[in-house]
Amino acid sequence: MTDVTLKERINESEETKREFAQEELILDISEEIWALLESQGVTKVEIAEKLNKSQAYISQILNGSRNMTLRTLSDIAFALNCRAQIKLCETVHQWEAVEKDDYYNIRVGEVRHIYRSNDGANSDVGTLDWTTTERLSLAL
Amino acid sequence: MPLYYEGAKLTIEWSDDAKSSLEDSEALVPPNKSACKRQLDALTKRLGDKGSLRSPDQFRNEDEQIYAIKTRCGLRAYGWFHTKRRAVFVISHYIFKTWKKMKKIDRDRATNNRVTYEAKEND
Repeated sequence: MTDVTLKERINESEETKREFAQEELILDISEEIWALLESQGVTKVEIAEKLNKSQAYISQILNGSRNMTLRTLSDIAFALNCRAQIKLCETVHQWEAVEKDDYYNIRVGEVRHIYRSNDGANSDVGTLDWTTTERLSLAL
Repeated sequence: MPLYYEGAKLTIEWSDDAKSSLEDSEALVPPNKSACKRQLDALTKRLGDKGSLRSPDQFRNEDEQIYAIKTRCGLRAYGWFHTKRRAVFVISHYIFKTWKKMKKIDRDRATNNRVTYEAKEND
């Protein structure tokens, strides 16, 4: 029996792909918030105090065990002197990269790889058979 | 060595103990918390893509260079960064637990898996 890979686990069914997309979004947002907390030297306790919430509440928000509303996200961003910019965009996967510094830009209907060289220039290197979904990205 | 995920920054590999322990631990996840299996996938993928996870609640150095990838439901992966091959993280084993601290039995299991893994590499 061969070992299953992460990609195969995620692509096992539409349900696993859908649940993965949810978890990936939650993780993207929480990691973005963690990055901001780190860069501003703000602790989880301090952000909890700023929002008048408990530390446990913030932990639950950041690990996905409690749903974060857009209002809460806005409040966190506001407390960190930022604003959340949200846009729906086409899926971008990095997991088919040939080399560590490569990445692929995968588009619905026009599946293609974009290779970025070290000087930042982009060029096509091939095509992928890949099912894509729209994905929500966030930048604080 | 079994390749689990080739990320942009890290290659994730499995020890011999990983596959069976994943099956065993996932069987213990309550049906109403099955989404946390995908949370584990998302954390693992991000670790591979970014090289680290910022949240100390979800990724931490437990002891003796054994790291834990932690989900909200208790599903966890233990592993280590390969010291000889750059940009490789090896998953030792998975567990489902409701307690907070890493138990000695898991530390010993990860350490043993590491010894076995490195011995196989040297063969």
